[in-house]
Amino acid sequence: MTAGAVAPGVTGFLIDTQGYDAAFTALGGGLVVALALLGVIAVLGDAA
Amino acid sequence: MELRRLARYDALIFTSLLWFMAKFVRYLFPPLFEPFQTAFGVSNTATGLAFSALMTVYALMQFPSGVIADRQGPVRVIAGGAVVATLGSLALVVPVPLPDLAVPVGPVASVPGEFLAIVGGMLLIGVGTGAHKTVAVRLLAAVHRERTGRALGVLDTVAAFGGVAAPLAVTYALPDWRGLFLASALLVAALTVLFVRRTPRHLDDERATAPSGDGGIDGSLAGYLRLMTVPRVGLFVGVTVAFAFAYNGVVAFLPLYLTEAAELEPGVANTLYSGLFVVSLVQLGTGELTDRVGRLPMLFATVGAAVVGAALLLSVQGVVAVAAAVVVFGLGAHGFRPVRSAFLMSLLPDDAAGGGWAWYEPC
Repeated sequence: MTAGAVAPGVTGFLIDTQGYDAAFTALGGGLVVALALLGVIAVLGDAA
Repeated sequence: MELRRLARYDALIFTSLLWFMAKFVRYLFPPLFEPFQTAFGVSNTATGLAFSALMTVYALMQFPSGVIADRQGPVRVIAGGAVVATLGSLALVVPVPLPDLAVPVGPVASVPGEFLAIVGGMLLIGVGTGAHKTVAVRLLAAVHRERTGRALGVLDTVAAFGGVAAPLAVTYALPDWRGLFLASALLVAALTVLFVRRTPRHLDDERATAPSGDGGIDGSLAGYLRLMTVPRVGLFVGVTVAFAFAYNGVVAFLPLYLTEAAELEPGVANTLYSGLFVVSLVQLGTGELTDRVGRLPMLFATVGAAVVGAALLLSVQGVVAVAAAVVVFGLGAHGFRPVRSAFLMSLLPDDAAGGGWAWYEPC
């Protein structure tokens, strides 16, 4: 929830300074990071 | 006869309706960012920070509200939270002429006092609504011990429609958005009275709170942090942190993105924003699918869908394609929730699951 709570403020700042596309690309990047970490969990399997 | 049967569920009904109103009032704000920016001359950063403030105090209330509920009982805590949220809504009904706040650093010289008053109302709403969920879950677990899962499913499903209704209500109410908060305050006040009158009879002293199950890892912060040193747990917390950041950023600014970047009419944008919450019903299915196809495959499917939806949102044009992008993103984002819970429970030792969940939620 902490990451979720700060997200609107950070997103608003990114929109003001970089524009909508850059801000939403950064948010999409967060999802890609989540997917990549899931990949690591899958690869490591029970060893993790 | 039917009414008498319904009366058995009045605690569930009023608890769910109060949670619906909490979600409704919260999701009134993102579609109001543009009217706020026009009316008060504030930036995306300012409106985003105001929403972050609401979400932060909401999160901070989770633990103390549970502790107070142990001493005072869940009905008082939920009703107290509803009263505070009502006061927050009432603070937004009329303009409050506060003095402007000078900002010594940064690109803006001052923040308009009238906007500060709105932020004050938002903070009260965050505090009030933050007292609800944790305590409501324990209340319903105590009242509906035999069918706790179903009761909690009703609670979340009813609340999801708060997000559906809010943007549509803003579209209907604009430009007189302040009336929405008056209507919300009156509704919450009425629901609170009914909740206080009808719920206590379902609780005797013994059942006033469900077991909190603080687990066998001594319940301390250090104990929960030790869990993070297990690589699989630490990595999954990373997944949820990255996901929560992306989801909440999108949810806060999607209405503005749809009007400013995707160039849709405000009414269309708010309808699509409402659709994002309609598809949250998918979580009823992904929870069950998880049991059949496995947790990890479902995590890949839901997070993957959210990635595809976000990519589509950034690359397509036209109302139909953008609507499809929002739906795909929503299916992934909302479908993720029950799968996340199931995966986390599988990671934690049985005796730590209850407390582990409480520790994990603030991430």
